Amino acid sequence: MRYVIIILFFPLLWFSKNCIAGTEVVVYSSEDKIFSEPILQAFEEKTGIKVRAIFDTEETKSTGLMNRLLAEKENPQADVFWSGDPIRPALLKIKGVTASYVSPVASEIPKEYKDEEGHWTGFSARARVILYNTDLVSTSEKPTSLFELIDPKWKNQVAIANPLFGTSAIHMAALFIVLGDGEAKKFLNDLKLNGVKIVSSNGEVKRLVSRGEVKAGITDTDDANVAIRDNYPVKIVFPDNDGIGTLIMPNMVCLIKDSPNQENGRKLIDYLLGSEVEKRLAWEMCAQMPLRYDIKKPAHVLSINAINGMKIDYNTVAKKLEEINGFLKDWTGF
Amino acid sequence: MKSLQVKQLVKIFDKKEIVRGISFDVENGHLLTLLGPSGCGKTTTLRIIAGIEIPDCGEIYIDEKLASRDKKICISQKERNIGMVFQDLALWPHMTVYENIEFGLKTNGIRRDERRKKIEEVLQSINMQKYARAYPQTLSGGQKQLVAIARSIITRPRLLLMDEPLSNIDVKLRQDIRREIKRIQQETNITTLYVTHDQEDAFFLSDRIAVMNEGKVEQIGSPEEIYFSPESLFVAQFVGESNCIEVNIAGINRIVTPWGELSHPTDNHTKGTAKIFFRPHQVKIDQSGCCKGKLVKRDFMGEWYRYHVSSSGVEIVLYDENSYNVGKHVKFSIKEMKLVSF
Amino acid sequence: MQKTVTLWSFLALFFCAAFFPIAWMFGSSLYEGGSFSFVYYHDIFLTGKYAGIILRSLILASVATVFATLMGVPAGFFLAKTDFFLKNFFKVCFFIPLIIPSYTIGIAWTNILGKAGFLNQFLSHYFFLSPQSIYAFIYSIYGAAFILSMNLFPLIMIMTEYALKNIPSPLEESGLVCGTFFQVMKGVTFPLISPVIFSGMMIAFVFSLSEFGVPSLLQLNVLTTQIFTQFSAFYNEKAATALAFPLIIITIVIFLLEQFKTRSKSFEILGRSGSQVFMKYHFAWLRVSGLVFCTVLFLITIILPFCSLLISVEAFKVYRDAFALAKNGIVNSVVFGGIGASILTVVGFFLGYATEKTRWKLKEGISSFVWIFFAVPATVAGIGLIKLWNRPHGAFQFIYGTIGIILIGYIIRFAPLSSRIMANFFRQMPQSIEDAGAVTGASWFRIAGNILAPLQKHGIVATWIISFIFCIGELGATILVYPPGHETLPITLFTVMANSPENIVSALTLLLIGMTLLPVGIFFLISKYVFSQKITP
Repeated sequence: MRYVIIILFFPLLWFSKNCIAGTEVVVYSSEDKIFSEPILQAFEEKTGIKVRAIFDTEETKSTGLMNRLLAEKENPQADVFWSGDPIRPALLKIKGVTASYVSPVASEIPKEYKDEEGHWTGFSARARVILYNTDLVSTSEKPTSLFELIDPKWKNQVAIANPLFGTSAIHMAALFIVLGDGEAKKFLNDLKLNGVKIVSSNGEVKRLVSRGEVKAGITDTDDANVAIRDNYPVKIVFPDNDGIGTLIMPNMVCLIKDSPNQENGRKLIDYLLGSEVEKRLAWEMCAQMPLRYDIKKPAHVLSINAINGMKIDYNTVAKKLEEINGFLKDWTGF
Repeated sequence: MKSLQVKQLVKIFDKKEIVRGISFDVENGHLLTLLGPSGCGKTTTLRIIAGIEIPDCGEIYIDEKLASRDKKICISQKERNIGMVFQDLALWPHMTVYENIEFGLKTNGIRRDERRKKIEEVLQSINMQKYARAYPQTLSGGQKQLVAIARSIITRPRLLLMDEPLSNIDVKLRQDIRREIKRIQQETNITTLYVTHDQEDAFFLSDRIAVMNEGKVEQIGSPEEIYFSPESLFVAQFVGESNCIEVNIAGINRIVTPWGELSHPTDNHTKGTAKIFFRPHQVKIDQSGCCKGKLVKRDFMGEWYRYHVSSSGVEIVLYDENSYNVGKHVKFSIKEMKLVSF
Repeated sequence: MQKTVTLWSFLALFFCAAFFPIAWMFGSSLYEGGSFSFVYYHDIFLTGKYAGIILRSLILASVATVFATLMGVPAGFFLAKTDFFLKNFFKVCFFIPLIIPSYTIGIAWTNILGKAGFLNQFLSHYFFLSPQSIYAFIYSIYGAAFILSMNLFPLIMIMTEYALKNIPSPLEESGLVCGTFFQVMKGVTFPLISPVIFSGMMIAFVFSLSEFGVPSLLQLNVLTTQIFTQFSAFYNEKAATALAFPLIIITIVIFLLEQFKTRSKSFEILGRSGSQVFMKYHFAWLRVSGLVFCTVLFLITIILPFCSLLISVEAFKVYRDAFALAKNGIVNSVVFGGIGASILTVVGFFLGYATEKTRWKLKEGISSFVWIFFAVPATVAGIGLIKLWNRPHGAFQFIYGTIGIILIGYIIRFAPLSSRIMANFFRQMPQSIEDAGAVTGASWFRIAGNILAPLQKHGIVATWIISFIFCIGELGATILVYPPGHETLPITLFTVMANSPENIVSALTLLLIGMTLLPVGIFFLISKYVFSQKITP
């Protein structure tokens, strides 16, 4: 009898180890852990506010934070959501999960990267790029536009991450906005006819291009930079610089409605939006582009005005994404 | 006083009646054997008495207190104070002989030094002191048997239940253990219910025997009564070897057998058919016998021969110490017989 | 009385932990726009839309099960029935594939057999296979099945080995008197263990059916990836839950099949007494084939996928970095996994007992009820847990904000497995062993503690180890519910997988393997030492 009781109640000892509220902030981060964790630690050191963080996997490896934020809506656990992409905060705004907060620090950030009502604010950005294998593709042959990829010479040689998820999905929605539905659908169907390989994630695109399984792929700057750092024979192209432009995807941060540590959450948001963080992310391996013009950055990181960014509003992209999801599901064959 | 009373016990498994309304009782200090072929419900009865199974109908009284009744256990196993020896002995392989025996004492909250004294006593009485620290797997079949018995009697139970404890050991050892069981039972004077399909065990050990068949008690009586006066064809044929010959009743106390008419009590019947029943050793080959027959088969049984005799259209079995050749014509007499109209 | 109360309270515990969150999910999937609705089930059952997907899921699971059986049964046979060089080494190594996340094995194989992979180049150079066809194979449903089977064959291997060791030698000896080795294997040995093999196949089947990592990597259109799409692309948890329903139905059917098959065969003769010996064969050709088979299996399932891992982490610094990254995860994993495995063993012990040793009329119903949860996708379980335990005003914060929620996740996911393993062990224990304790008047707790538990020590150790391995590897539910600071090593592994240097990821995988094997080994040694004082004189 005794030992049954002990076994039954043993776990309770662990339950009793409860958290101390007030001096902490809970952040859910879908920015890659290896980049975001040191920044959060720096915040902790600077302010003495304990940061309790949860990180996400790549979109296609687990259902992750987005579902968690939605499921926790009735009793939010997180104070701040640091999103690695610009659409999930916009979606959360639609679903009523976020609260409005206009950070004083964000005044230097261009207004196209901020929500009018203050539900989300962008900083350090990535871009959607074409990555190609230099062993298989010469500089003269390299694709400079997405639309070149429907050419028969790229048949079965292009990889793209499943457009239902993550930044790939954002890219599609942006194309639908810029090109109009008809054009965009035609482009995607042509791409499919040309034997585009749909893989599970941008990391997979990077892996396949790096190993020479395909000649080129559409992926994000951070994945592309990692491949370059790992000394694979790959190079980046910012597509359609003369045309529709390249998709810019800033990090975004938002305050969660009714969360337990609102005040600390605001402090963390102010910190993340500061120029220090932008600078740091520019110098990290992910080589993210600062949204401020005056940040000192390494040579290979382009400044945001050096690229012809697509003219889109992220709230519209989020709505568009919900609209075209059905088409994309059919398109991928899922 | 009656240590155990079983009244109208019924047990159903999977819609099949395994025990079909049996009743019997055991006097204090006596040994009753449930004797019957396998599948007759005797083990189930035992398990109901032990409180392992719940009866579907009927009552069990232990020391004249109601123990189980109609799907209810009235006295828990602890209060029943029962010892039990299982067919496969069920010695716990992870405990030593000492620990095996000690378990029941611990359960009853006996102090350590007292436990030791009792265990040493019982081990001495079965002459196994030096095996106290051995594990059951290392013992011989007979030793395991003794440990199992010691384990069951260590708590001085009011009632000892034994479920075919001798079924897995060889003949010679069986006799020794049987004697040992009898000695222990008589010394301790524990009321015992013994289940077996072996009539030799039953005859040797029992004060009374209950013969069971298909979930019913066919007959209860002393070993002699069961052997010599079976009340049913089943008992007659299951217990020992027997001859059953059909006869006609010719009148008051007159019957017509294949060997002629003779005088025999007929229980007030005056006509019809009946059967006469006699054991093989109640038939003797003797030249003055009134029946004639021919030896058709001979089996050597060690101290005697077993003969099949074909006589007047029937075949009977008899035992004789002398050797005769098959084919010989002999005369024989039936010393004693019983008329039964089953 | 004690027995009934204990067993029912464990059933109630399982019911609360597992049934409510899942029922919550399915309940809300039947509720749309404020009223009762079958809208999410309509497409699944009344249109042909999902027929192909369900069929593909079934093909994937069947083929993976067949592959796993072809690898696991011979491996188990050789390990149990003969002796050869390095046997114990193989025995330990064959645990490894069970530990590595299937996703990692998948990456390794797509590397090896991709067009640029060395095995692809080797095969296409020396055999009549085009690089394209090999590449197509590994990205096909059969390739996925092949990868999955490498993940799952150890399960079947362990069960086969255990069952073979439980066949009393007289059963085989009596066959050998009148027949050849092969006739005995075919006529006696394998028929005897076939229920166990079938059980193992069933577990492997359900695992591959509910597997997400590999189908996602290879972009296969099966039920699990569909569920994922509903969750992650459409944020539609109701549709996702509805899609889990076919999984559950298939699992129930499989379970009933197993019940039907094992009921007709008496398995109880196996392992009746603890002291018997089992038969080993010492033919030279058998030893050689054992060695050859195990070596080939070792090469295919461990060396090949690992060479890419091992090559990339020769530098010590990488391990130091990986360790620094994973320190918290390692400690958490061991602690949570250890507590989780202990709870699962206790729960499994009592649930297994309830489903195998009682005479309850509901017994079979209970065991199939428990089994259903085996098929519930981790994500559905995770979201269900959030919905149930994350209450407004933090009423259950002492569970939701702590390790408690992770442990409940483990119970939902793995209690069906642990109770099934324990039930298999209980099945082999004669009833009289327990009755012998009961007639002394011992309370059921005393019987459970002094007789059942010590006698089932092998079962308990096996259940603990397997539970531990699965707890440590759990990702799907844990990642949805873990409180900040409670991340486990697989979570670390998957969260850093994006954009970390490849060799860090490889080093983390190796750490995960080492970290799983180490506690398992220590536990094994401790239990062996503790038990050795009491067993075999």
